[in-house]
Amino acid sequence: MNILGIETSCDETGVALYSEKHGLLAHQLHTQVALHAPYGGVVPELASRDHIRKLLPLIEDALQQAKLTRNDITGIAYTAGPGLIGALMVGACVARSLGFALNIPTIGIHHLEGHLLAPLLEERAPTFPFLALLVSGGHTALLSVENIGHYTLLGESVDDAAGEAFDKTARLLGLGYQGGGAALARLAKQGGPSQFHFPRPMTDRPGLDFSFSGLKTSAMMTIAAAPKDEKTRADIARAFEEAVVDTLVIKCRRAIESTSMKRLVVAGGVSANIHLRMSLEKMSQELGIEVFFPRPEFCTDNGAMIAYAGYRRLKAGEHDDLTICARARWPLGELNGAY
Amino acid sequence: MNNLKILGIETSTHACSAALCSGERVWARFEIAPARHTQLILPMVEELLQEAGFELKTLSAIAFAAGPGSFTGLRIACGVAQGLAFGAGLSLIPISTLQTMAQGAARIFGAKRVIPALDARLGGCYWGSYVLDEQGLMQPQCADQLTEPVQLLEHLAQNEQDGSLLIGQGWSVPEQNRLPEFPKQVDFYPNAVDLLPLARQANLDGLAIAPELAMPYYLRDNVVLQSGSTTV
Repeated sequence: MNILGIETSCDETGVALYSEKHGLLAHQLHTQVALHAPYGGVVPELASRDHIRKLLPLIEDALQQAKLTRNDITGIAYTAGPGLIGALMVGACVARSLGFALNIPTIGIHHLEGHLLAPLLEERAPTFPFLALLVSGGHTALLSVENIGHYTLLGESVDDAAGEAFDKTARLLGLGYQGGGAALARLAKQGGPSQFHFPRPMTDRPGLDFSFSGLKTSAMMTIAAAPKDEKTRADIARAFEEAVVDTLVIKCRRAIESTSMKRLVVAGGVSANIHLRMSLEKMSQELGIEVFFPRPEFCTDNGAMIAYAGYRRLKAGEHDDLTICARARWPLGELNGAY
Repeated sequence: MNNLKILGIETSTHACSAALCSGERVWARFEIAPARHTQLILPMVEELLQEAGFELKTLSAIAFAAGPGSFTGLRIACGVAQGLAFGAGLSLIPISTLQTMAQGAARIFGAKRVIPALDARLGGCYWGSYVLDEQGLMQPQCADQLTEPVQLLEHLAQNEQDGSLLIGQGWSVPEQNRLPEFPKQVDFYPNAVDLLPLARQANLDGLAIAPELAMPYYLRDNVVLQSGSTTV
């Protein structure tokens, strides 16, 4: 099986080819960051227009990288949601129609399932069951993963996602609109211990839900009241990052203790954060469990994770009918497969 | 030339249609189906191919209505056309949605001069001006435009005697009802059937392109200040 994976749910066009025999054969990504930067956020119509310009050329690049022709593709997976509907629609239309033309099965994939399974692309991959922390600009959730398609939501953010809090605080600190979280982490490295302290939201009560909007507000007030020099900004960034990381670690520890899971998988854009990785590694040693991360380039949106999730579902016999499927909203609870 | 096999796809407005020709024989599907294009378009294509007994890869080319129209609708037709053509190793022929409508007016009403118009929202309309040539194909008299309705009315006032038929939902804007002397068909939608003769000629003219070069023809490029009324 050679599965073509297509991701167009937001502002990255991702294409990859995954082979059952040889693993990942090709991975191409076009990011629209520069396109949206002047507007301070993703402009959905511009995103859609860029996806339809870039998708076929990226598919050609991926085929070339894999030394395959289109007739070697045996299945196609595409992100069917959740995300920007116009952007999703481009990937879904091209993917479903290409599958029809090649007379091969296609499957619409839940974007978060892609992230969830991304660590399985690595040589050192987790085995089922495992606990998963999904942490990105759009989601913060803890799930118990029994097998492909068998997910139980243990807790999620009741308001902002962790990545969103990172990005918004980055903007308040004068860092860019996107990849702002990464810029904040770089700034935090320059910071030292300071008088700044942020709350660890919802850690003082039972349960596995998260909340980050209060933390964001607290950061806003702190930044407004503090001096604007580089040292102070770095100290605030460090204190903020520590608060987010601490909160995530406390909830992971709690989830591991309550489920007795032996493996933790961390995925999504924020899983690239070095401070978070180190803190979770340390926690895993204390608890005697294993922790798994995707390689940094597969923490953010990419086609490889979609190709892989598609490979697993297509292999299990699932596939689409001729309806082109794109859903802006797709609750995690509806993610489970039919098998 | 007459043995060309062409598939046409049209999803620019509330209508969704697909059509297939082989020489003079035509197979077609058409439905007014707001927001259901993604459910209907591939089953339509499959039915046409089955009825005609053709395999996709044996076709000569695929035509699609490129715009102007609903942005999402244009990307559905373009994305589906791209996927089909890339998979089957075919070229694509983009055709103006307004020209397709004009061609339809010639087919249905025997119109010789047509001004198709579509609502472009934000106080604008897309329109074109078309005249039938001796081969029975609608040819543009000017480039398809995006203007405020008042400029379209000015164009009409200047061409009052030419007996143009006004077609399309762009003529349902209230202020455009000030020209009762013009024959009008407001409930008029583009239909993939009318892509076929235009695509046949475009193919002869060497206008078929590689699938990755096919893009929607939006006409409206200023899409960021969606709330402003001066975006036209």
